[in-house]
Amino acid sequence: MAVNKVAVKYAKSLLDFAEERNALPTFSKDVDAVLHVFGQTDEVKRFFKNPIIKEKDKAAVFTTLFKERVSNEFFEFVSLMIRKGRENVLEEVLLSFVEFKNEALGIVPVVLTTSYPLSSQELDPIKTAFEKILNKKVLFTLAVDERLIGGFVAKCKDQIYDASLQHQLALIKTQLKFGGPSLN
Amino acid sequence: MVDLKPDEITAIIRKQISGYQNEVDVYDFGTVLQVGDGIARVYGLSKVMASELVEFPNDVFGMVLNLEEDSVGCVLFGESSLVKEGDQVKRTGRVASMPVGNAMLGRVITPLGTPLDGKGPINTDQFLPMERKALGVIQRQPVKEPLQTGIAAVDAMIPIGRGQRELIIGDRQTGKTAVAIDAIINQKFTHTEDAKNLGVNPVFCIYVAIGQKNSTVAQVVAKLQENGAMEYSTVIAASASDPAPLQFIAPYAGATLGEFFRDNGKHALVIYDDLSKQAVAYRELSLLLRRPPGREAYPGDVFYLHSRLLERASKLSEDLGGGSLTALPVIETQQGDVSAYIPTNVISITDGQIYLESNLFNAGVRPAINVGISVSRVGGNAQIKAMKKVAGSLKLDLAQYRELEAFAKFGSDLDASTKKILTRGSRLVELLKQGQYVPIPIEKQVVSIYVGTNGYLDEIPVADVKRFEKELLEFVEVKYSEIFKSIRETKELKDDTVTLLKKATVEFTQTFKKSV
Repeated sequence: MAVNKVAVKYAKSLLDFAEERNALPTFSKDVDAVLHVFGQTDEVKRFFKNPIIKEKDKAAVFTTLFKERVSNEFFEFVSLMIRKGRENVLEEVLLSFVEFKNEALGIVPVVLTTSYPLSSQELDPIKTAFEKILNKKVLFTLAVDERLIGGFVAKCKDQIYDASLQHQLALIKTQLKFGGPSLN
Repeated sequence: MVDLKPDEITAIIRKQISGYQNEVDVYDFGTVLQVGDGIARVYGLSKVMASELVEFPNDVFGMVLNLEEDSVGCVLFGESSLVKEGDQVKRTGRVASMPVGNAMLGRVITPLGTPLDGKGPINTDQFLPMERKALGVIQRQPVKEPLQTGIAAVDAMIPIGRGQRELIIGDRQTGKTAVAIDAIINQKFTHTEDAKNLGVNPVFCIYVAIGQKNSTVAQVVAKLQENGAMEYSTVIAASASDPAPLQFIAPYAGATLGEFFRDNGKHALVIYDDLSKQAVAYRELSLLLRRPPGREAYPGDVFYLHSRLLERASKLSEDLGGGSLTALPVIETQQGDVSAYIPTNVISITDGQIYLESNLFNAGVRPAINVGISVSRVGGNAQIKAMKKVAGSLKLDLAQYRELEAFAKFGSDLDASTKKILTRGSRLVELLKQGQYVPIPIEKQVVSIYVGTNGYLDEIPVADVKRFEKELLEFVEVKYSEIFKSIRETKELKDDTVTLLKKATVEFTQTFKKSV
């Protein structure tokens, strides 16, 4: 959920640049690497967000952490952000970049919640069905919620495909409550 | 106990569930970013429409008012404490609407159409959107039928027509609601067989209570029930304890229900009590939605708020069934200040106003109508001929009286003509006094005003005027009932009726004088 205007601007330019250089795969790998580190520890995130720490120190830390691990262009991009004092939105920029990249590649991220972990045999037909409906490639993020009882809930951008037993029971409840002749 | 076999129960349940289809439900959703003070900001909901209803968890509904670049501003119609940050918001796909239908009559409901009176669900399946565009010029026709309020002062001098918008304005405690309730009670006649035979169409009434105390609303409902007026009325209540969004949409709900009757060729009267509270509620939620404040901190579109509401009152053309929706908005002024923002706005929108004054009220003139500045811009078209004939000089007499009223204090040093005006005026003022919940039928009003404006009261002491009127009406009813019958049926005051009326009055005055 990137609502930051600055982040959107940086992310878009990063994507444009990547496409220009035909370096989208490298860049996305780099972005994933950084996001992976961000996801693992809170410290790095907090370090970059902290306004008290000097730009020089932030640049130094970033160099030691990532210089060897990411491509040169991407490293320059982040260094530019640090120079401009925008390192506090670094994570948002990367998240928006992933979002824009998926859009450009025709990939839709879908959060699929089920009542128990699905096996790949169970997942495949759902995936094919969704790819057919959305006419795009689907990238599933799996989640488990026992309250669903059965079925699944798929969140895709602003839409929910609700085929859970929980929802259907709720529908029956409202129907019994308001529809048709009363039972008493 | 009724015996119910298990099979039967199973059969019933099966029947209930049979209509249910097992399908994947697809809906749009958003996430609550911020909530508080009856307002929620929602991320997502990218396809939502302006003023669409959205569903929050715990059966709380909201309406989308602001569509911004990256979020949506909603107002909540329920407890905002039931909604939390991060909650899921569902689109309903329909703009804010309310159920309408004849089943609404006799009920007390919220602006969303849910019953408040504990009389069970309302059986209606028709929904109409709350915000509807007012009708254009082609669909309308001039206001021509009278809507009798049963209040002599109003029906004689400030006549209201079906399809008109007449403002009731005054300070607190001046009897604004009383005028409105009397108008509702007086519509009882229009639902009788007699009215049908006379060609008077029934008027259905809607009373919208905005920001009032629940006890006051209960009182109004009790009064309406007591007078048998609830059968043809609906009360829409958004009390002071309801969230501001409900108070804001309540008048629109009333207008929607009124339009249902109007569009079906029927006649409706809707009372918005009161619009100043609605404006305050709208100001509250506008400020919370961060719309820029204007004069008196009201948002820039507060004029449009009221004009689009009142513009929905109309008299339909015959092609469309000739139905009508009359609106009686109520505005409360502060210390008689009609030049405040909201009063001036509403005065300029409506087709006239009934101005109630606390001075008059305290002096015992009730209804406390200030005849001098009360007007009806529809005027004579909304009056029956008989009333037009007798009431012609009434306004003039009263105006002259008010001009000279100050001199009355000087006592005897007055010339004859001044004295005459003062005598006449004081009798007329007395004549127009009227109790609450006692609407007077139009034919009786005509007779009373006839005797007043023709000087028959001048010799009666002021204190006895009311008794004279009452007894005269009884006398005419018993001995000369053809006078009432003729006025009622022809709606005119024919010469022979006048002769008869003169005779009756003279006859009665002689007997009355003996009793003084």
